[in-house]
Amino acid sequence: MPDRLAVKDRHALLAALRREVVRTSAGVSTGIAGIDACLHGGLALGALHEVAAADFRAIPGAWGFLLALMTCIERKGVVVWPLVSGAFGIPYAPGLKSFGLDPRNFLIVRCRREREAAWAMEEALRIGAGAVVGARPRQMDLTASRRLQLAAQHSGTPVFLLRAHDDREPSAAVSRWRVAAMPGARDRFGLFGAPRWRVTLDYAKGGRCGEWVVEWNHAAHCLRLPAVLADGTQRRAA
Amino acid sequence: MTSASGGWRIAAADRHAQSLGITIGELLADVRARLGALEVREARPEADRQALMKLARWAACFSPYVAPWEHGLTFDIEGCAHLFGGEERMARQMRERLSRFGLTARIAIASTIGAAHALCRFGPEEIVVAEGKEEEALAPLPVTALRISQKQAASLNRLGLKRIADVARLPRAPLAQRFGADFVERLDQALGRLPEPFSPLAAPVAYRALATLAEPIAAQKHILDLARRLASDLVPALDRDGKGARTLRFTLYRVDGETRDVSIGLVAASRDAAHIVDLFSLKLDALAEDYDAGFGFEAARLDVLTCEAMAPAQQTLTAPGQEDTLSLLIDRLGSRLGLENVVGFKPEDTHIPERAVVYAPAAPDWSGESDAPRPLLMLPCAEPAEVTALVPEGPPRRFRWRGVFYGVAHAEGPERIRPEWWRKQQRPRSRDYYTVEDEAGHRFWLYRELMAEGDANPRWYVHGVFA
Repeated sequence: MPDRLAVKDRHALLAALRREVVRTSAGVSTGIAGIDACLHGGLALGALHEVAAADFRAIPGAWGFLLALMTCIERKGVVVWPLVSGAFGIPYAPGLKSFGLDPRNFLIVRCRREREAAWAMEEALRIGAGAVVGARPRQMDLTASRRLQLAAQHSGTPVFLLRAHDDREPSAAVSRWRVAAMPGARDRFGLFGAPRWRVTLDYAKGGRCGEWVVEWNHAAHCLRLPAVLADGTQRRAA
Repeated sequence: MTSASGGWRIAAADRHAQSLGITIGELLADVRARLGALEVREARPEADRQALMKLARWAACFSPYVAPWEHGLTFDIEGCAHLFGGEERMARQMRERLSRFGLTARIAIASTIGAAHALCRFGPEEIVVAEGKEEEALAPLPVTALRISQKQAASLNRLGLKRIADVARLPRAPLAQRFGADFVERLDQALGRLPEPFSPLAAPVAYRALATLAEPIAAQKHILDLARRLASDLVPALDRDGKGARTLRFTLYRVDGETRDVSIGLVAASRDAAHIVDLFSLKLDALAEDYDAGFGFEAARLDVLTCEAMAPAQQTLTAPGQEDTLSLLIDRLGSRLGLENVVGFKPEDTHIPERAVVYAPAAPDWSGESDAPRPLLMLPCAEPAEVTALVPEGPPRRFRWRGVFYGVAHAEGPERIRPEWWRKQQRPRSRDYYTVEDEAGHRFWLYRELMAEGDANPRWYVHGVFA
C-alpha cells in the first residue's frame, strides 16, 4: 500500500511541477506574433528585461520602447521608478499617458546615487510592486544583475532596465533589446503618426534573436508592425 | 567669582572651599585677606547654563520629563521609578551615573516640587520623602529653602520665623499680607496644598519605552536588538488603545553623556515592531558615517511622538493587503532616501507645461485631460537652442542643441501657450511650441519665446524629447 501511495504522490508531484513549469515559462504576448515566437511565447513575467539605446540620441526612443513593453505586461499595479538624473530629463506625466499608463500608478523614487537606485529596486521587488523600471546602474556587474533577476523571478514582478548605449557589462537579463530611432509614420494628412523604432532582440533566454521595425499605437495602446501603405512613405519599414 | 557691587565676589565654592569658611556672596578681597592665596576663576553663567541643558538632555534617560532650574534638574519620575526598582534605587543609580562624569549629586525625591527643591538644597545628600510626610521633612529647614527672595527671607528672620516649622501652621491671610502672596504660594506648594505646574523640556509623549543597560553597547546589531525590545514593549500599549504609531524617535544615551536620536515617520499608522525596527535599521545604515558610538551606549528610549487610531486587526509583513504593501514600500524607501524623495505625479491646474505636473508625496486623482502632444521626457529646465527658420514666425528648419546640428524633417505646430498673467514671473512671454522630428527620427519639443517689442532675434528652447 505505501508503495502505491508513493507512486500516486509522485504522479501528483509531477503534474504540479508541470503546471508550475507552464505557469512560469508562459510569457505575456507583446502583440506581435513574430516577436512572441522569438521570445518563446512572450515576455516573461517575473524576469529582468534590458533595453539599450543604439546610440546616445536614441535614449528617449529606448525609454519609449521600454514603457511599451511594460504596458504589455502591467497596467494596474504600482510602477516603481527609481530616478537618477538622466541626460534627457525626467519622465513627464502627460507623456506617460500617451503610453496608456496612468501617472497615478507611478511611484517615483528620487535617488542621489545609482547605488540607492539599485537598492530601491530590490526593495520594490521584495515588497511587491507591480513593475519596476529604471536606468541600469553603471556599476551593476553580472552578480548584481543575477541577484536582481532572481529577485524578479521570486516575486513574479517584471523589471525593465534601460542600459546606457556604451555599457558593456554582462547581465543576467532574460531578454536584451537594442532600440534605434526611425522616422515615424505620417497619417493621411501628413501629420505625425505613431512613433517608430528599429528594435533588435540581441538575446532571448531560450529563444531566438531578431530584428523588427515596430511602432507604438497611441490610440490602441499596443505595439504593432507598421502597415505598408501605397504612398511610399512606409517602404523603409516594410 | 563674579563682578558685583563692591568688587569681585564669590559666586560658587566647592566643598573644600566651603569647609574653609568661604561663603557665597563674600568679597574676594576679604577672603584673600583671611586665607591668603586662592585659586579663583571667573564665573561663566552662560556656559554653566548650556552644560546644564546638555546634562538635562542626557538625564532624560531617567525620565523624559526633565527641566533644568538655576542649579539643578527637576524630574517628574511618576511611572518611571519602577523601571529602576524603586525610588531609592533610582536615586542611587542617578548618583552612580553622575559620579562617572565627576559630578557629585544631591538628590531629593518628594511628592511636591517645592519640597524636593528645598530638601535637595538644604536637606541631607540623599533623601526620599514618603507621600504626606512633606511637612515633617521640611520642618527643620530654614525658610530660605522655600524659593523666596532674600528680602522676604530677611524680614521673616527678623521676626524670628527662621524655620519652615515656624510658619507652616500660621494662618495664611496675615502671612500673605505681611510677606506677600507669593511667599504663601511657595509655602503651600511645598506642602502640597496648592498645585504647581511643571513644564519639562520635552513635550509629553503618549507612549514610551525605556531601557537601561548594565554594559554599554556599540554594535549596530545590538542597538537594533535593543530597539526591537523597546518596540515590542510599546506594541501591547498601542494595541490596547487601538492606536498605531506615525512618528517615532529612538534616543540613545552615550556613556559620556552625549545623546543621539533618530526619528522615523510612517506613511500609515503601524504597530508592527518588526517593521518599525526595519525602518530604524535603514535609517541607521544611512547615518552610519556620522554615527559615533564612542565608548558605547548605556541607555535607550523609544518614544511615539504621534499616533493615530488604527483598526485592531494585526498587521504583519507576511500577509499584507494591496494598500499596506504600498505604504510599507513607501516607508522603507523613504526611511533611507527621505520621504520627500518618494513621490507620485500630481497634476496642477495650469497649462504651462513645466508647471502642469508636480511631484507630490501622495498620489491623488489624475484629472489633467488633454490630447495635445506631450513629450515622454521633460528637461528640468528648458535649454536654449539655435534655430534657423524660413520665416521668423515659422517652424524651425535646422537647430543646434547641445552642440549637435539637427535637420528638421517634419515639424508640427505651433501650439501657443500664453503666460498666466495672475502669476508674478520674470518673463511673462507667450510660447509657441513645435513638435519636431529630425532626419533620423528623433523627436523634440521646441518652443519659441514670443518677441517683445524691440527684440532682434526670437529665442528658442528645447523643452522635452518624445520617445
